[in-house]
Amino acid sequence: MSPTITTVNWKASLKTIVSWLEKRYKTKLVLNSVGINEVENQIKQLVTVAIVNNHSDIAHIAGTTTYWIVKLQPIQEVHVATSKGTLIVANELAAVLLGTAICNELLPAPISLPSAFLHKWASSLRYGIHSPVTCELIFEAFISCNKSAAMANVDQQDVSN
Amino acid sequence: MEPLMSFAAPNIATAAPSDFQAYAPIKNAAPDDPLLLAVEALLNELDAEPYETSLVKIIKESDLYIPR
Repeated sequence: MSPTITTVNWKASLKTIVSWLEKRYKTKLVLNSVGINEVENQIKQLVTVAIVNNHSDIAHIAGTTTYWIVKLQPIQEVHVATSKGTLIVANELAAVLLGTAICNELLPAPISLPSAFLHKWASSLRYGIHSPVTCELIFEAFISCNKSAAMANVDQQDVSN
Repeated sequence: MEPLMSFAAPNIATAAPSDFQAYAPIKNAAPDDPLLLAVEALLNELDAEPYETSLVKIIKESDLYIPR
């Protein structure tokens, strides 16, 4: 993989994810400006000019971004009459989805996290103990599995040819 | 005493849901922004799942969602 210099426009993408969560879970969510600024301060150097040399760099950007959104909780629920419920893991789900999208933006082939796993990971991020490195490792594992599956696919095509 | 920080929060009793977007004004990304495209593809993929095994249903039926 040749080095790539990129910027990660995470805020606008997070807003899109928040809108999706609002529609699917019929709740009202807002992005707290203090929380957004805090997250930005933590990941600014990482995403303003991201230099991607290999898959570990992608997992590092995705994992660190995921961790800081979970830690600083920039998404808040607002109680309005039209809300049908409370999504307790709004920050956790949004963080994991954004991390996955960062991987998919920077990787040649997208990764896919099963819904059952997304549920378990969001719950674990909410109630368990995590660090930027644990989040990074989970993305690294999915990227590696995806790469292995892609290589196995190519090998199978070679054999059949 | 001044509060440490304050939000320009709308009056919850009278506000429409759209009023709350003012909390953190974030510019929309360009339609061809690569990360935005990746996000949209991911969300479309989630929407395309059968409802019975979808993320929305799994979360809604768990203790991570409290219906009102």
